[in-house]
Amino acid sequence: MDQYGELLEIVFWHQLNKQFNSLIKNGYGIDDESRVIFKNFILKNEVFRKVTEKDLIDSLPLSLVTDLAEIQIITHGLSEWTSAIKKLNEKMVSLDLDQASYEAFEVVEKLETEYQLTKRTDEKDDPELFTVIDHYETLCEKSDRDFSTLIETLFVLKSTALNKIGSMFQINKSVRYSNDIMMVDFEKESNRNSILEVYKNEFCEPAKDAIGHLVSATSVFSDSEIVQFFNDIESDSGAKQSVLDFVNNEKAVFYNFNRMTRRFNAELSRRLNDKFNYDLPIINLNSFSFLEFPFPSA
Amino acid sequence: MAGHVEGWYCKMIKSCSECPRSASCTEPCDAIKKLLEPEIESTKNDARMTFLDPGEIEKNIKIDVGRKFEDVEDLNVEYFQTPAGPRSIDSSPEDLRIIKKYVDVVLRSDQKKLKGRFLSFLRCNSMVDIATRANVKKQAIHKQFYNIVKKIHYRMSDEKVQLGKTITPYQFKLKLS
Repeated sequence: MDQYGELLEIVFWHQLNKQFNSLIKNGYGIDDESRVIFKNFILKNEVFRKVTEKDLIDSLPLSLVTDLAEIQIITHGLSEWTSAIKKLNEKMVSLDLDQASYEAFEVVEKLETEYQLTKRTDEKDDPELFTVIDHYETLCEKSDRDFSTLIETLFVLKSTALNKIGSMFQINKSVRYSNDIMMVDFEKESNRNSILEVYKNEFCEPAKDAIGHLVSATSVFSDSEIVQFFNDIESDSGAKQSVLDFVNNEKAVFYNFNRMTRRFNAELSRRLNDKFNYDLPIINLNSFSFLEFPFPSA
Repeated sequence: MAGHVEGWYCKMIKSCSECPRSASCTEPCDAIKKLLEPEIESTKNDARMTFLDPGEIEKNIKIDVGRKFEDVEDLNVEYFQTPAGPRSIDSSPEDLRIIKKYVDVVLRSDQKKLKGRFLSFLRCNSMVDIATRANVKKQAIHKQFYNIVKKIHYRMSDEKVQLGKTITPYQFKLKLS
């Protein structure tokens, strides 16, 4: 990381501190030790770099959920989702990483001007590039490949299912932490089969429907149109470098999206076929696992 | 931390990490600002993050006589330095309010960072600079801005606000200036 990168990390952490100050104003008890732990977590892990460097992750709203001690987890920023987590562990607070990114961006822009940190880049319009982007986006729309909308839908489903299940028994008394997973164990509940049914009907089945068009046999046809589009541009000897760079980048995004969706589909299928698993996974406790696989746990 | 090189790496972060009073900081302190003063380098683009020498600054200043003041006969006018790249929005507060309204409409409330980046672009920052500041690839910015412009354009057309056929983010900016 260069010094500019360090500056981004520090300014980003400052904006998160502002959110801490608001929490303190609202009556949350946050001691100095917790703030030092948090400072070290953000700066040592280069959290700003981690949450911005991947295109698919950058397209999602993000939150950091923390118990101000041992747990710091980056997850989807949907308020229904973070509220559902907070209901399960009352020590948890959530910080809005997008708000912090937005504010950090503004602060760095001012610092760049004040300290003349950067030489402004001269940039020309590139109509060929935007024509290619237009074509690509039309193909993606046609095959309904909107990653951020899909992920939001899945987290809405998971939050709704959790809220329904939460009304069936004392859910927060059944929370346990095992193998890096925060989960709800409802094996001892007398209505455990009803709970399991609600989980499958309210989350697993509709989630499978939501990704169905991306993993079905017919998805091969829409995918092949996009792959053909990539191939056509790559084999065009007259293609501009900016166009080739765009296609190269999108190709990686496209295959990553497909790989993750198939993995999620397999996890859902396993869960739906499992009739005796009375654990309900809530969230992976590894701080950065969401950045590798931003789907809800099945 | 990955890539740690003692002595060069983490000057700023080291300063914050070792500072007993920094845990609740909300803005860069004097120690950090001091580190901003000498030349700092960026690995993303070697031409960036260097101070310009006076000769270089002169070369980069563009007096916009031919365009902005082409109809002005009074020579006793105030000249401004114009930003590099395609002309930026030179809009009145009212124009900016209207544009912001459309940006607000097409971007959901949870798309704050995207909104910030796009408004920065309208304020005359280049997409490459925005990508560097946001630590994202410029290809991602191209796609994000293209989609915003497309949505704004549709929305404005629906509301009979005449923009003509704009496609690229730059053309959008020019139409609005």
